[in-house]
Amino acid sequence: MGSAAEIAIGGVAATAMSGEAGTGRRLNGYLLVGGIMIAVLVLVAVAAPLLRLPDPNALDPIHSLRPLGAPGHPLGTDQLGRDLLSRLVYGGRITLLAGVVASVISTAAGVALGVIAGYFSKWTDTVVMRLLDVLLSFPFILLAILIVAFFGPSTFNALIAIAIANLPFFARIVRSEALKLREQQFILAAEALGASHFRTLFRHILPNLLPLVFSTFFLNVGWMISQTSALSFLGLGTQPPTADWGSMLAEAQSFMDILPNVAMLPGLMIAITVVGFNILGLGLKAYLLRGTAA
Amino acid sequence: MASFLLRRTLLLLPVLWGVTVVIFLALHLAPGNAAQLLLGPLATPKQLQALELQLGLDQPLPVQYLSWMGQVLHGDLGFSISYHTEVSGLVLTHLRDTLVLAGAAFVLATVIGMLLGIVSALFLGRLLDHLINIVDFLGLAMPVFWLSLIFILFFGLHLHWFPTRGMYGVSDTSLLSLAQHLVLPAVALAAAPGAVIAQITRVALIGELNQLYVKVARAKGLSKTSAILGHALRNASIPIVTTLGLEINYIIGGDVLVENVFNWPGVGQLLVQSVLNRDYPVVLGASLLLAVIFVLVNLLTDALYPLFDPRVEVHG
Repeated sequence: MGSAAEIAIGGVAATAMSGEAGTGRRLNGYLLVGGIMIAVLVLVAVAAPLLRLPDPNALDPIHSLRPLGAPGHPLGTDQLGRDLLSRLVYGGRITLLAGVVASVISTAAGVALGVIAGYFSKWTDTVVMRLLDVLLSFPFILLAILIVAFFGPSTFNALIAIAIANLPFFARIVRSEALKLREQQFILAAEALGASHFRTLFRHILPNLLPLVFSTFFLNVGWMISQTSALSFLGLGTQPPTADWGSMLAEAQSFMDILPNVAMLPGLMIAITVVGFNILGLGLKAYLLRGTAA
Repeated sequence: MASFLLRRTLLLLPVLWGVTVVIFLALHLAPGNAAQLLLGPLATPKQLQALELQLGLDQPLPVQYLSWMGQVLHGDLGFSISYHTEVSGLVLTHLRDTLVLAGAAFVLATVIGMLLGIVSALFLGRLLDHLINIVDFLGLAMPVFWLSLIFILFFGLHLHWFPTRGMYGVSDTSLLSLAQHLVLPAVALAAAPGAVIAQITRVALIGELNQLYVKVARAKGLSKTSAILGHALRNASIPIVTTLGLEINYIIGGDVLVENVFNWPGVGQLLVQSVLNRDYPVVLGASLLLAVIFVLVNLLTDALYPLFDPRVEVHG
């Protein structure tokens, strides 16, 4: 799925970048804007305990459903009187972490499978790719729901489920790159010099895949965050009272006619984060892959 | 054409087989006893024993799989724990409502998406093109469940233009009522796949615009619009058809979420409710159904290929 979103997002970027020529690695606007957005989000998430916010799970029923700008609660409170700013910040920690960990897992497993399939070709390739085809023949959210259904809803199970469901897309991108690399002169030269499979893979193939892996990783984090939030929203991820942006939206559904900001803010944060990671991923891609075949 | 279709259909069998294996394994690798999962917490030891015997839980996994497959092929998906009815009937009634929503969203996404892509290509690099690109970018970045909530809040609760819950009004099962209830969920569901289609259309058309035959068409005096619509679009339609399978993936994924937000009584809502109720027979039945539909639709898009690209027909 990452690749499709990438095509679509890439279209937007292509027009903006088409004016730039040259092959040198240059900082581009996407890298800068996306980098700053994500840096701020990560910084707030990491530094959350230092911000002296109220306990995100502390109940205060007397002061429930306060609007924006209420004294002591800049973003108001939810139906149980919990401070929304604090829940948004602490929920962001979980949402970001889940998205990044899910992306790390599916990237690592996807690279391993993709490289093995692409480098060894023949029957290894056939076996790995047919197995991935079976995973691909499921609508990815269905696969994730199925995994959560049988292992129980939790943040961890949700992120594992999303990672597995997205693994095939990653493996396919990496495989096609590995296939191209395999035919290159320097790989043949390494093999002719007697390099072992292990050495060829780790000294020659993997380093050349890194730019692609790195930029696809960041393009995927946004998608993963959106998907793990979706599972939480359905009640299949992070469980109450712990906040993450998806579960906050789910709780907000029942009283958003009274206080719209409870339903607006977590969704806005998800959208901003997804946009941030997409822009950063595009910027990285333009930066790292400039002048190369990909 | 016939042999092409036959070959594609035969290729489908291992994939369908793989789908049933994954669903079977999900049940049997999950922590806990499969019979207990299928009968629910209220089952008596006697019922448990009977089902264990029927499923052959003392048999090796491949034997269990074969007997389970035998039941599935006979249309027997088991008995729902929470609805106290046959799973196959339950799932099929919900499927109809899902098809209404997903079908509407599919048509909407394809038509609007292609239109936006064509307009983008016509006004390439101009303000309208940039605006459409931004809309696409947002359509992809906004989680569908949040977009749904915004629609409910703005068009439902604020403007009172459309109803926001369910499929029909109270005691009003007319087509008009269905149409009114359909608008918000269908548009929300169509947003992301529509954005993908728009971008694919745009990129494909831009690729064709540089081809000689389009330049010839322009040179003989055709306007840009008729060169694009009359010549470039047909060739650009090949990558667009390729993404239709992907569009289905987006729509099934989004459908599960949209149905739950809008309380639409389809398979997606049934699936999530059944997961939360630990109604495993329904979870398995609904998953199997959605996966099989997904595979079949992908076959269908494959079959559409030769219609758009005659080169495929011979060697497929």
